[in-house]
Amino acid sequence: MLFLAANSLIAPTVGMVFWALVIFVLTWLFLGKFTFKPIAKALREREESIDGALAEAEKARTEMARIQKENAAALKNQQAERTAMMREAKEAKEQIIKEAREEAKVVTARMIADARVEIEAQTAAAMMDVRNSAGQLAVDVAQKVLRNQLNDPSAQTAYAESLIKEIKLN
Amino acid sequence: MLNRLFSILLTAFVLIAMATPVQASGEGEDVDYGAQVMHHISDANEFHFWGDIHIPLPIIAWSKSDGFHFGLSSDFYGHGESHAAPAHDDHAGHDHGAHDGHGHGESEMGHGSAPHANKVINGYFLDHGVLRRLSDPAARASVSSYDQVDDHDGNLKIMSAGKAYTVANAATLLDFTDWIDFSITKNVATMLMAMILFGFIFFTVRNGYKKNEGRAPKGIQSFFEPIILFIRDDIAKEMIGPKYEKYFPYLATLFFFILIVNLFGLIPIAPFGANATGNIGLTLALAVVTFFIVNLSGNRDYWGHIFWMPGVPFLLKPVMALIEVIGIFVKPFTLMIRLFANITAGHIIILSLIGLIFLFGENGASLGGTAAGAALAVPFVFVMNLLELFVAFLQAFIFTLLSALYIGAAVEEHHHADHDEDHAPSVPA
Repeated sequence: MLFLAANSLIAPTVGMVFWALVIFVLTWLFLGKFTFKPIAKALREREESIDGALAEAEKARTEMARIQKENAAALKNQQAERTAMMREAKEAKEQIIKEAREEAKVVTARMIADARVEIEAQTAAAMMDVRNSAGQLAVDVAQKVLRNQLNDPSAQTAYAESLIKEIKLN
Repeated sequence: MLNRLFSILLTAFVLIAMATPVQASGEGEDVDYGAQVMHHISDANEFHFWGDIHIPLPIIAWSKSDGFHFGLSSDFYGHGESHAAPAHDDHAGHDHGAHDGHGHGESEMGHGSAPHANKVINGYFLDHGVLRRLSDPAARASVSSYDQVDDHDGNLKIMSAGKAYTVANAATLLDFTDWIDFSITKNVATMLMAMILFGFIFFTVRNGYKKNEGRAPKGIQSFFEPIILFIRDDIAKEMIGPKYEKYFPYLATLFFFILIVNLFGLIPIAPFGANATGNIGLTLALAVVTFFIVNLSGNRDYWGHIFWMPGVPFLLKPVMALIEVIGIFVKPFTLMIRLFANITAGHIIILSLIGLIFLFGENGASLGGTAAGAALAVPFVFVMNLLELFVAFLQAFIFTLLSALYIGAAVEEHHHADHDEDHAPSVPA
């Protein structure tokens, strides 16, 4: 019995081999291929899309970093530019003020000079007037005095001589 | 490795135990536990519960002389009189190591009532749920029922009305008799159920990939995705290399088919529990498919390495060719034996442990013995079932992995520059 049983255990029956082949090959060709092929494809596509997305994200990140860096650099540049501009403006302002001041100084000086010239001219004119008036007055006084004194002809001659003397002194 | 060694040792132990039939004293009845275990792990034409409670299965038999015979296994059961004393039991003096023609449930379950699968139709009859056929054409025409099966001298006979008739088993590849049993046996039914479950699972998974295209997996899809990825990345890609894609559906089918049938075999309730992957016919079929895929995929390098091994001294080349040609057949042969032996061993161990309950209980005569046997057997069976659960995955994995390895060796492109060490592809057996 044991021999028979053991024998039947290791003897593949034709029917079993037939059905096992049919069922397994059907499972493989119809179920396996219709399921695992699309599953493998879907898995591959998903992996590719995930890989792609990751790569894109990485790219975007580096791009972002680059842009940020550029922005930072640009900002720095701008700041420097602003500083430079402000410095320039300040310099310009100082320059302008300085120039204005100097011009003002020049103008003032000129005006003062003009004023002085004017004043001098005025003074001179006034002195001339005073001199003229004093002269006239002196002539008038001298006329009146002379009329009084020069009623005699000797006195007239004496005076004319003194005048001549005086002119000579000048 | 340890697990396999353990299985082999236990199998050896069980085989020795089976070789010495135990005399169960309780009812003065010879109970051949070895035969019981063998019966359970063998294929049958019905799913048997106990007595005459069974799930009938289709019978498809073909014989050279009579062509096809179709029917149901329940055709062989008598009607109505199943619990009455059957007429054929009246024959005296038939107790010489013979057993009745009814189901095996009697000695195992302690039921005395006799189921009667004792009809003979066109010469076909059921012996313990297994379809057999009378060898004699005249007897095939005349005999319509039998009384008992007689195998005490190693030649199977049936007794009918006091006369003995010789019996022919269905054709096997080792003994090609004149008729073939194409029936949907319980192993075939198990494979069909596995195919249906397989289709259900993986069409659902595939639809999941359609529905959640490019997104994370959901539900059953997310349960199977890691396993599918494991097969793809750690078996197919690893063993085959860049050409793996073509072979991936085969390897995945192989893995899940073996796994599902293995797991069905571990469910102890009919219509499951059939030792289908422990049937050498099934493992042979799987190995044959792998054999054809490997050798039809073989490129020039593969055949070159078989018939004219590079990097080997000239005189050794023919010897190597001989070894390699044998290797072509040995590789799938080891696949066949490995899966068959591992699963069968597991079933034998579990059944042997369960047998302890009946052995200790003297077949129901001793309640205390039964309790003691159960107390001993239940924890052991529990642990063995856990081990078998692991083996179910492991053997599916190994079969798939080695198939991939062989395919990989067949499609691998060799670079002949560095051939001094790289000449012989290793053959794990």
